Amino acid sequence: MTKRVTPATLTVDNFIDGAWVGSDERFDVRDPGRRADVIARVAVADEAQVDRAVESAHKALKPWGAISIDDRAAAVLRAADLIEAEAEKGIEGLAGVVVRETGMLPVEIIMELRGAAYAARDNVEAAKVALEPVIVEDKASIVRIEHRPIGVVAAIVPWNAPIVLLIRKFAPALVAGDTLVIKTPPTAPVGVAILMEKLAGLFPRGVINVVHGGAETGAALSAHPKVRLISFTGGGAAAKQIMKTAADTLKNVQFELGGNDAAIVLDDVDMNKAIPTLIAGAFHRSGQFCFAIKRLYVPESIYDAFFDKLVAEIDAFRVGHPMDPRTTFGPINNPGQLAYLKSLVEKTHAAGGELIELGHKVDPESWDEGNYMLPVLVRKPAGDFDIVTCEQFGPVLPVMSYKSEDEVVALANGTEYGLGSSIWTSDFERGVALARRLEAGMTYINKNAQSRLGRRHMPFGGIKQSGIGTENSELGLAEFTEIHAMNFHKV
Amino acid sequence: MAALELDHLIDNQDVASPTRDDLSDPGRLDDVVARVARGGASEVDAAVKSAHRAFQSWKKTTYAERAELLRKAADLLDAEAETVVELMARESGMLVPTNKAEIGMAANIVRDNAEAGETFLSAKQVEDNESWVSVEKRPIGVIAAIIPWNAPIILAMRKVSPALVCGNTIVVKPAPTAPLGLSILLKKMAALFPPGVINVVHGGGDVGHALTVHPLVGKVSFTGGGAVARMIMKDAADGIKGVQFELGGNDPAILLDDADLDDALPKLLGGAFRRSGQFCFAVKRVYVPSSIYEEVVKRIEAEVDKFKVGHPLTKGVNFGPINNKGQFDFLKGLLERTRKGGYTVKELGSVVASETWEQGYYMRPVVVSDIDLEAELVQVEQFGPLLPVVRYDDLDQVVDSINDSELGLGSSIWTRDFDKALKLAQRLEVGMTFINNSGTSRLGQKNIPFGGVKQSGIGRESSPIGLREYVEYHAINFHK
Repeated sequence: MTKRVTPATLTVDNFIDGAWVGSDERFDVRDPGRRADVIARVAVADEAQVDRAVESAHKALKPWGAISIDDRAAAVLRAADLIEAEAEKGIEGLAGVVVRETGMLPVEIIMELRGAAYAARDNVEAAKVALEPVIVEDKASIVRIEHRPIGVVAAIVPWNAPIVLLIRKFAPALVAGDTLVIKTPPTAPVGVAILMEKLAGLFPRGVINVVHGGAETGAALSAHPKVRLISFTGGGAAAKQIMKTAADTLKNVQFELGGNDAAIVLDDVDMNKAIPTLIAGAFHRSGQFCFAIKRLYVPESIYDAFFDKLVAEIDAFRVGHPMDPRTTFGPINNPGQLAYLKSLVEKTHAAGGELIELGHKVDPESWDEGNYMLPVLVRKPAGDFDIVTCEQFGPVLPVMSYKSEDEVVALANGTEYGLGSSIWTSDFERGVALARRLEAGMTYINKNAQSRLGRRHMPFGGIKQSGIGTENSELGLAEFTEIHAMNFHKV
Repeated sequence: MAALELDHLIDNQDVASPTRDDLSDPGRLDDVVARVARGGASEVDAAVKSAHRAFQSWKKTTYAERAELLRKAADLLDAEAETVVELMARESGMLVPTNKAEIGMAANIVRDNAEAGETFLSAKQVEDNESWVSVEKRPIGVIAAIIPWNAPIILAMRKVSPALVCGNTIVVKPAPTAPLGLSILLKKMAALFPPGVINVVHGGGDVGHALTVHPLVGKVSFTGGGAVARMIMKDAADGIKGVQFELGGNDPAILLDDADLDDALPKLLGGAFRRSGQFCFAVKRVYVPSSIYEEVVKRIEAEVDKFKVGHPLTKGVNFGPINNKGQFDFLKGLLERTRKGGYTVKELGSVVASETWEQGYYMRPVVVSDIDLEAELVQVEQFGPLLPVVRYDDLDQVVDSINDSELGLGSSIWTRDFDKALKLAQRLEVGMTFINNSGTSRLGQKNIPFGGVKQSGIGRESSPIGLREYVEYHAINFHK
């Protein structure tokens, strides 16, 4: 057993109008790998504090919007450099606290910080194209189309990758001239708050505000008449509530929600190359990311060989506390999610599903002190099992077999979700042709992630119940702007 | 004239309902123009299912095929205009020339959207050593289009044509007080397309609700009032559906002291009183500098006094009635309250056929001067022929007052100085600013994303930017 070091509990406040603001009501943030450890005591923002945060952001709109796009872009690029510098510090820097609150591995969080820096830079690049006025002219008139800030943006961020998911909102909003009120996730608010306070110095006072709390804080933010856009990443039930609240003041909404992303292996796949990459696409962050592979479809002809290789690879995972250097697989972020995953496993078992628990416990004695579970494969479950039809958001992967491409397309599309998807093949043409038949916002081929080029150019988001609108690229940037069209009539 | 029987259009078939609603001429209330089938949840379900069935093959057609059919539809609108312009006058109260111009413009909107699809719908592909990215656009599915009564053909074509060119199918709900002209034209258009691509269901709020919550409807596009928009958005929330709203405005016209009044005033008043003021981007308040205020008020009053108010089919009439009782009563109340404010209220124009005046929703055009920035008539959207003319000394104060409004659809600026206009336009929190006219030029119709900010809407219509509302993105990333 490794030596146990309990770091001091932090006090984290709301960040409003350039200053930390405490609150009488606080909640504890616990280490998901060692629940007894309270990482931070965090101030809850009540309605009055949310109002102050929005008013502060609203007041900052004029001075911030008056700065040129180039200067706003420069400030966002400096923010990107600061985030990257944090990544370089490893767990001695910001990554340390994010690892402890999320339960994600240091390598995952350091990658997340680097990804966040790139997301900021990519959005600046996209803004240079997207914010350029369009001017057309003929004998009778001139038309000029400008993109203006939408106003105060409420950015509501989830716990599973809080830094990068926030920066996807932060960067386009700020470069477009908007100001921000960020609501942090209750089980991972600390890293976001520390980073935002650090970055706020690059911007005029009030441009960045941070509030903490649960559904009530979110509701106060969604209802505030001076918020013009709610950009939310999280679950569908919360999204519905947000949209209903937003309706009263006709706010714009942009939602990136869950998925039940299918991975389709084709029979020409190079198994040795594909399997490690595919496993990362499913089990990275212990399966806790929106576009994780959530259903795996393997052709009947190669099923047994493919499944055996999966079992062998996944069995190598060592599940434990993320700060333990032996660990390659962290805990589940919160007890609610762990209980949901266990119930899915239980239901699958009760329905007669074949479950294979894999991997090893790093520290069996302290297993129950954290939200731990071993990765699980489900062999050939029936298509109507909950583990197939629901989003698990955790390390339980159902592996189905199929006979024809038509069959697998129908299975993949037979869901209310439509976020990502992936195809694994040696044949480019076949992969792209199949991709075009999938009902999803994104399809990755031969890796379940965006390439460097993809991060810059792909609008990130889903269709059907997986979202409204999109993030990243010129198309995502447009969500953070309003259009003002001017029409000069020549006399 | 005998009342027409107007049915729903589902799968290119006329479908009746057990109940019908009388549609009366707003200018002659005892004239029942049509008896309109009253739809409910079952007609909505049949129409949406028809649209969803049609979508399965329509989505596989090429852009070129769809654009070609839309161009035919545009030609059809032009060709059929004469057959409905008088009926439209009898249902909406709008003038025949207005209806004719509306259908001509609607045909252009269809052509513009068909054309905009060509570049917009092509995939954007980039490649480097590591990977290949293709950003593709796909239809959403079944679109619900909810249309208001004030300019139904144009406002429907702003939804039907982009929806169809992107590969969606559509269920249109016309307004209960102006369903006739639109439905007749849609039925003729629908015959050009596979059955189910265009469907029409009549009814009130319950039909709109049933459409919005139907699980096979992918998006709701609505033009109308804010209160209804809020209900639609709440209904849409349960299905996490996208919404596109074009709502009201309280559009200011700002005259600068260098305006060419001879050119400006007729255009500005057309922008305020066309359709008896019943259109979303009508000039709803006029701001005039002190230095020319008395002159401008005098000239506005003289110009407005020339209107001849009466039934749109009566010879010599150039100013029609208000479309419906609710709007008429609202305007009467607003006029009463404005009178009590102590401002200079002038009821202008002349009444044609005063013996039938009480048989319709008639009111004369009203110009209100010596009115404050804070007056109700200045602060609320009237949507009718009551025009406040406000004096100003301080332009900054005018800009602040306009931007304090929760509405932000259109606006207009009247000046000879291009740079001054641009600088002022950039200070206004609105979706559109027209300079030296109140409305879009032909180039503007093609290129301007039509819509408003704040409580005036969500999303845009027309132009390549408007087409974004009718697609979903599918990004494909091939790793080498």
